[in-house]
Amino acid sequence: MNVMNIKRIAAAISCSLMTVVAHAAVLPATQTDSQWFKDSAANVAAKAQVETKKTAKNVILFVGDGMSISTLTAARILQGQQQTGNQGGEENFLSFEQFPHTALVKTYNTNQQTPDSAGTMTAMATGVKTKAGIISISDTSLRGNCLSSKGNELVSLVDLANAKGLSTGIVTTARLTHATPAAAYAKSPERDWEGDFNLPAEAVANGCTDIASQLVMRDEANSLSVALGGGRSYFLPKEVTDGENKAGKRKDGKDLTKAWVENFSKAAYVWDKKGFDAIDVANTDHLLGLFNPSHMEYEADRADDVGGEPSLSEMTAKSLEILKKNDKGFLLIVESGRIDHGHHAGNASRALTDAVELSNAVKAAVDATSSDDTLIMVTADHSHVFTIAGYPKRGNPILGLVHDVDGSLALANDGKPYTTLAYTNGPGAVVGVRDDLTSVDTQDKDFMQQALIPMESETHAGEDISLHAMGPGSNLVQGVIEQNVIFHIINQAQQLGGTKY
Amino acid sequence: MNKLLLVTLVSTLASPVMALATPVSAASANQANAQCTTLEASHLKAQYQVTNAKGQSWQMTLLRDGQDFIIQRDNTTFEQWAPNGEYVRYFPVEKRSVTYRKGDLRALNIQHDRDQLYHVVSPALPAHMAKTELKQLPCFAAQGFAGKVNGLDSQLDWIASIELPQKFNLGEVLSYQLLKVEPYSHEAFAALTQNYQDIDFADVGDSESDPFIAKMINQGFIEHGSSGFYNSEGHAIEAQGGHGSHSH
Repeated sequence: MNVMNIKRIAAAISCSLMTVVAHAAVLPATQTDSQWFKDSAANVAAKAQVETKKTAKNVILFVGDGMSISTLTAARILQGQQQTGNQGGEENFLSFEQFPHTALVKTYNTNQQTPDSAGTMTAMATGVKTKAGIISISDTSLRGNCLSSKGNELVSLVDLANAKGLSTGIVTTARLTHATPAAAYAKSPERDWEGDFNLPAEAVANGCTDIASQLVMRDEANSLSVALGGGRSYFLPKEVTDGENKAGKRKDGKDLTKAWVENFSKAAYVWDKKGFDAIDVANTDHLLGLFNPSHMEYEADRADDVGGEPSLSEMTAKSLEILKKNDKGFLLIVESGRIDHGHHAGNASRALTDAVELSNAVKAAVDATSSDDTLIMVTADHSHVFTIAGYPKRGNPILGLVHDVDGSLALANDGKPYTTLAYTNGPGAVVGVRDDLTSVDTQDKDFMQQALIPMESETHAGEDISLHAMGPGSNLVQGVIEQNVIFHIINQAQQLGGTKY
Repeated sequence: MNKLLLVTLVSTLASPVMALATPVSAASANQANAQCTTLEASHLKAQYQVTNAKGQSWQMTLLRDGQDFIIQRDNTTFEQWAPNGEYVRYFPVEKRSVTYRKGDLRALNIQHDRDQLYHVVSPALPAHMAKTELKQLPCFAAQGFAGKVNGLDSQLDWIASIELPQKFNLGEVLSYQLLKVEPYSHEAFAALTQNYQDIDFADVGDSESDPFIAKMINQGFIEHGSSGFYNSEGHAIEAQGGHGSHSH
C-alpha cells in the first residue's frame, strides 16, 4: 500500500468519524435519551455483528398455513396483550420475528393469481411452481388426471434429504394427508386424493395411489422418521373404529397404522396424548402419530379433545428428540395447519391463537437446537383477506371494538361501533343493516368478525407473505423472492445435491 | 322423503308395526292397540306436521339411534347430530355430506340446543307450564300442558314415555303435530348414512374447485346449523349469539 493510499484512507476515516460526531451532535437529548432511540441503535449495532455460516447440518421449515402478514401483526399484539406488564402489546415480537433475516415471498400459482396450499407448498418443497390443487407434480400435468401426471413427478426436499442419509420429519395440526404436508412427501395430481376412497377409476387404472398410502408405503431408506398430525381415518379401514369411536374411511381394507409399524424398524404408532407422552425416544426411529380422525383441534379447543392431543410445540420438541439422533442431520417440516381454517371461518380468535402457538413451537425448536448448525425458517404458504383497521388507541384489545386515542368508542358512518379486525369477505359478511356490536363481546373466541362480501368461506389473498430465517444459510433470505426460491435456499444451505450447488 | 330414504326404511323395518299418535275412534283404537308395540325412546322414527302462522305446512322427520339422531325437513338434505358434537349435513341425491366438527361449529359461532332438537321441543317445557288434561291416545298417554313460551300462550301434549310432543302450539305462529311414530333400528339408521363422500366444513374453503361444493354454496345449503326453532315463515331462528344481519 503506498503512502498516498494510506493518506486517503486516513482522511476517509477522519471524515467518517467527523461525520458520525457531527451527526450525533445535531441530535437533541430528548431524542438520544429516548428508549426507542437506544433500543433501535442497539438493534442495528447487533445486526452489524451478525455473521452467518453457509452450511447447515439441520434444517427446520415452519409453515403457517394462511399466516398473512396481518396475521403476524395481530398475533403478536394478542400475545403481547396477554403478557404481564405489557406496554399495550404492540411492542411484542413473535419468536421468529426477531430472526436476523427476512424476505417477502410471492405466492401465486402457475394458474392462479391467488394461490392454494398445494401449489404453494409444491413450490417450497420442489423449487418448481405448479397449478393449484396439484401436489409435487409439474405444471404440465392436468389437475385430477393421473395419466397426465406420469413422468411429471417432482423430487422434493424430503426425497433429497433421505437420499443424503438425513432423517426427515413432518409435523402438522391438519391432516397429514392435507395439501401442505402432503407436498413434502407425496406426488399427486389432485390434492383431494387423500385416501383410496377418493381415487377415481382413471387414477386407479393408471397407477396413481392415495396420499396416505404414499406416506406409509415407502422404502425404509426414503421413509419419514417422524410423521405427526391428524387424519387418522384416512389410514384406517372403514371396518375399524378408532379410540375416539370414529370409523376409518379406507375401502381397500388396509390398516396403514399397522403397516407403518411392520414396515419400518423401531417403529411406533400413537393416537392420543397419553401414548405420545409415553414414547421411548431412545428406542423409536419411526414415529407415526395420528391424533384425530380429521384435522387436529384448534389450539383454542385442544383441551376439549376426546383422546387428548399434543400441542404443536410438544410435537415439534418430540420430533427433534428423535431426529437429532441422526449424526448426519435432519430436515423437519412443521405446519400450523389451522390458522387457515380459522380465517376461512371468519374467526380471528382461533386463527390468531394458532399463530401464537406456532410462535411457541418455533421457540421450542430454537431452544432445542444450535444456531451454529441449524437453519430455521418460518413462512406461510399464502395470505388471507384479513385486515387491521381503524385508528384504535395504543393497547386497544386487538380483538375488541375500536376505541379512539381519547378512549371513546369509535363509530362508523352508520353510528355503530366496529372491530379492529375484519375480513374483506366470508361468512361474517353484513347483509342489509349491520349489527350493532355495542353490547357484543367481540373478544369472545367464538365471535365471528364482520366482513364485506358475503361468501360461505372467507378466501385466501394474493399479496406477499413473509419468510424469516436464522442459522447457517439464512443470509440467503433477502429481498422479494418467488416462493420456489425457498427450496433452493434449503438445497444450498443443507447441500442436498438437488442442483449443481 | 327421498326415494332412497323411503326404500331403506321400508326394507329395514323388522315389522310393519305402526304406533298411531292421533286420537282415533274406539273401534280403530282397539285395532291400533293390537298393533301398538313397545317403543324405545332411543330407537324410533317420528314424523311431524309443522305449520306456521300463514298456514304453510311441511313435514319433519326425527330419527333416533341412541344419542345420535337425524332430522329431515325436506327431500334435499337431512341432518345428523352425533353424540360427539359433530353435525353432518347429507345430500342424498349427490351422495355427498359435509361434517361440521365441534371446533368448526364454535368457530362459526353456531350454538344449538341439542336437547331441544332431540325432543323436538325443549324437554324442560313441561316443568315451566301448567298441567292440563291427560289424553289417552291409542298407544300413548299424552299429558297436556299450557303456559307462556317465548311470551306466547302455548299448549303442549307431552308423551313422557318417548319424550316427544304429541302436539305443540307455540302461540299461533308455529305448531307441531305428531303424525306417526314407529320403531327404528340401529341398522336402518346406520344404513342411511353409508357410502356418502364426506368433506369437513374446514376444508370447504380449500375446495372451491369442487363442483358440488360450488353448487351447494350457491344454493345456500352449506350453511350453519339451526337453533332448532323455526319462525312463522318456517325459517330457522338465528342461533343464540349469532349476528342477526350476517349472511351465513
